[in-house]
Amino acid sequence: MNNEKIIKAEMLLEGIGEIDDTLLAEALAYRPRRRAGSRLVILAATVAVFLTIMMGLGVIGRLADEKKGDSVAPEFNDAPQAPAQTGTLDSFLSSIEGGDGYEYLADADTLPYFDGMAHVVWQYSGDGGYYVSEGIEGAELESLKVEIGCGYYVGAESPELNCRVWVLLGDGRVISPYLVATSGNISTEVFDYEPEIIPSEEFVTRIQGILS
Amino acid sequence: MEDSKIVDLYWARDEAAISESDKKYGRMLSSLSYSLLSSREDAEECVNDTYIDAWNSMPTARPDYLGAFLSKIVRRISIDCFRRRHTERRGGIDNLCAELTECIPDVEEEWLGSDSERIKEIINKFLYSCDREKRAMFILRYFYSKSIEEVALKVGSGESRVKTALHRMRLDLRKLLEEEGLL
Repeated sequence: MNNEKIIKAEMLLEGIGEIDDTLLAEALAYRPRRRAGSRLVILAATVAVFLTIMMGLGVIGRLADEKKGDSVAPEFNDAPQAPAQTGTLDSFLSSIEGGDGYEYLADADTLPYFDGMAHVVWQYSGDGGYYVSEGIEGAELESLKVEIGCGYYVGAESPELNCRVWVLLGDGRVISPYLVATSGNISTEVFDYEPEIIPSEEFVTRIQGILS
Repeated sequence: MEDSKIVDLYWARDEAAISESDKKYGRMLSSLSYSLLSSREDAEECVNDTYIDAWNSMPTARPDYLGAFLSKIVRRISIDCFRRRHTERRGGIDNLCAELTECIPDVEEEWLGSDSERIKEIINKFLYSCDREKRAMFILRYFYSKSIEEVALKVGSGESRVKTALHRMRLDLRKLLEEEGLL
């Protein structure tokens, strides 16, 4: 590539460093908007069909109220609250504590941050060491990544957990499924955190499949 | 701790300002520097230098958004570090520059990009003309040096859509740079 062009591109890259602070803050805080129009249309159509069927069956007036959480990445202002059972990932990892089949590393510096494969890493309360899953890649990794950062907002008080959990992405990046997927929550090593979300059921299912 | 309270600590020359800054923004700054340099050791050094720079800047600076203020410092320090140590190591800066060459035409004209005030004006003008989603994509990619995958995750879109949007934005920026007489 033309060296002069690269030099000019570097100058441009430097110039981008002078973007207004308000724009920088806005970008970090950005949350995707749901398309309200299409959701309302789908919702209205679904309700209309449902009511028609129920009227036909004569069961209007005996409808049960069913709450089901939404497992997409929560927005803090309107995210559904966690369901009654809040420790599914935590309880699963607690149930395999002491089991064989997982690598145990005493030193965080020896964790496989850069081996090109993702790893689930967890640490039990009171234990200084780390359990490490086998490498995850391909379709299994892609289906796991989709669920990272999705879940239920914990609200004002973080739950007491028996395990800290991280996902090492294999390229030096480290995230936790208990944190919202924002750029500020990506680290280069395992780190302490206060849970912001409870991982979705889909995420837990994927972890159970990986660790079983 | 709120940004304003941390800034007050800097102004009061209370060293807790550094620890509070690190607590709130340390991971973000490390991540940004690492994305540019691909070296944990270099990134750690740049983050430490950032706190020194911030300590020396306040007072007199009193930023409204401390995160943005610190991000600019660590980014500048990281790019300088890259220039000093860049030999065969291929960091994130190389990839970003390769993409941004799309904004530079293939003519041998004097580059007025050394006029940093003009560049700053034009880039901000360009970004204010974009919608929020596109703006977030551009800033996350070229300021915060996030990967395409991370940008897609953040804006709730597919990677292909992000790539297409960034490509179009680079061409639009090039057009604006030409119109403004910078190229």
